[in-house]
Amino acid sequence: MKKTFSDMLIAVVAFIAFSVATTTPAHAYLDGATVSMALQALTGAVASILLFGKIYWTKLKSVFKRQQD
Amino acid sequence: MKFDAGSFRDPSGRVLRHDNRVLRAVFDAGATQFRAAKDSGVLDEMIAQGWLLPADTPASEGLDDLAPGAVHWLEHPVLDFVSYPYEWCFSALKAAAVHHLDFHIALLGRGFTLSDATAYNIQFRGTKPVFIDHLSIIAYEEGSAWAGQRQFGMQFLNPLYLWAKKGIAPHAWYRGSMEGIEPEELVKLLGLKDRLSFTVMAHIVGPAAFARTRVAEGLEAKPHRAAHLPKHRLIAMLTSLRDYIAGLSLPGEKTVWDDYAANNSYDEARRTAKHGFVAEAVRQAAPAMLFDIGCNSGEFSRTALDAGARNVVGFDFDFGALERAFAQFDQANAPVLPLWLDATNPSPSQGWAGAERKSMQDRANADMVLALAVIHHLAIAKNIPLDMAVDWLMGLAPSGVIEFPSKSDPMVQQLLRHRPDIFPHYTEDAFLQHVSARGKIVRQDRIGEGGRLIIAYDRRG
Repeated sequence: MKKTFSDMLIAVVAFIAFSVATTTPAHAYLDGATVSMALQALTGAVASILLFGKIYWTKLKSVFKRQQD
Repeated sequence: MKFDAGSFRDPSGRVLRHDNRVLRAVFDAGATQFRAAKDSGVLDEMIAQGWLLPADTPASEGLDDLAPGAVHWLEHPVLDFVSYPYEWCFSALKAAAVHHLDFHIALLGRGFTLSDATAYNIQFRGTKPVFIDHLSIIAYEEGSAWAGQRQFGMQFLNPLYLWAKKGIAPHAWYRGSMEGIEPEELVKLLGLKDRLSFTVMAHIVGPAAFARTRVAEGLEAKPHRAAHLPKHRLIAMLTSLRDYIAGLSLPGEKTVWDDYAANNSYDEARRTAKHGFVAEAVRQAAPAMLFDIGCNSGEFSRTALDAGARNVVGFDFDFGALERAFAQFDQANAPVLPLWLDATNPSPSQGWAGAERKSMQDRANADMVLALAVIHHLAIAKNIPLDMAVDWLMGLAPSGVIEFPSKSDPMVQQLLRHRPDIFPHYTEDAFLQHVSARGKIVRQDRIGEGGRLIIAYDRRG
C-alpha cells in the first residue's frame, strides 16, 4: 500500500510537469523533438531518489536482520 | 555494391554483404565519433565482455569501390540467423531489452552513450543477445537527454508491457507497425490503476502526452527551454527502467501443448524410436544450420544438437512452448534460438521499399529441416493442400525429416472431430509421392509397430 501511495504521488507530480515540457536537440539522427527534456530531467530526479531509497532500505533491512540473528 | 537493405537510416555508415563477408563502411558523418570510440578502447572492451558483436579492421584495398566515400572499414562475423523482434518470445524480447539498458549503462560509465534504441540493433547468438551496431556508440555530452527514449518505449517497453500486464502478445501489432507500439496508442488501453506506477507515468503516459502536445502545437511550438539531465540521473533513470523490465513476467497461462509431452499418443518405445531416426538423419546430413518447425519445447532440437547439428532455430506458434524452449536452452547455453512462427503466415519482406526487413523465406539458410508432427496441422487444421505443405517444408532446406501422422492417428482424429473429412488426398501414398517428386527419400520407417510414417529426404543430386 505504501508503495502505491508513493507511486501515486510521483504520478501526480510527473503529470503536472508536462505543462513545462521542453525538447532537446538530440545529437543523433533521431528527431530531437520526440523526447521531452523536462520529462527526462524529472524522471531522472525521481529515479535517483527511488534508487537511493532502495539502496538504503536494503542496507537498513540487512542491519535489522543482522541484529535479529 | 550490395548494401544491406535494412542499413540506411544512420548516415554515419552502412552495412554490406560482399563475398559472404559482412562489412561496415564508416562515412564522414560518423568518422569522428567512430574514431573517438575506437581510440578510447571502449569498442574492444565491450566486444571482449560479450556485449558487442566482434569487429575486425580489414585491409581496405579493393573495398573502397564497394562504398565510395568510406573513411573506415569494419568486418563482422556472419550471424547464424537474423531474427526480428516480432518473432521473439517474451523472454527473448525481455533479454534484449535488459541487454540494451545494461549495455547503455556500461557505456555511460566509460563516457559514451547510444544514439538510438532500436530493437533491430540486437541479435541473438543462441539465446544470448548481442548489440550489433557499432556506429550507435557515440561520445556522451554532459547533461544531454536519452535520445532513444521514445524508440526504446515503442520497440521494447510497450510490447513487453502489453504482453505482461494485459496478456496480449504484441506480434500482430508489432509486425504490422515495424517501428513498434506508440505510447499514444498504448495509453488508450491503460486504466487508472495501470497509471499509478512511476515507470508507466515516466515512460508511457508522459511520452504519450508529450507527443500529443507537440502535434497540437504544430508550427506554433514554443522555443526550447534549456534543461539539464546530469549523468547520474540518466543512469538512475535507465537503472530503474531496467529493474522494472527485469521484474516483468507473463501472466500464468496454460498453453495448448502443456500436457503434450505427457498426453500425446506416444509411448516410451515410440518416442525412443523417433529420437533414434532423427539422430541418425542428422548425423548423415551434419547440418551447420537446422530448422526445427513446430519445435514445441525443444525436445528434438536437443536430439539434433546431440547428433551434431551446429546451430538450431526452432519455430513454433505456441508462446508457452517457446518460453520453455528458451529457458531450457538459455540455461544450457546451447546454440538454439526458439522463434515464433505461424507457418501459414510467415514473416513477410517489409519496411522501406518492401525490403528493409527480410521475409522468413529470404532468411532461410538451413541445411536441414525437421518437421515432426507438423504436416497434419497444415494440411488438415489449415486446409493447405498436401502437395503445397510438402513443397513449403522441403523448400526450407535441401535435406530433412518429415513425420506423417495418418488419418487413423488419434491426433489427426482430434482435428477431424468437429468437421467433415474433406481431405480424401491426405494419405501416406500421396505424401510419399509428393516427397519423391521433389527429392530422394533416403530413409523411411515407422515409429513403432503400426505407428506414424517418418521419412528423411535429400533433394541434392
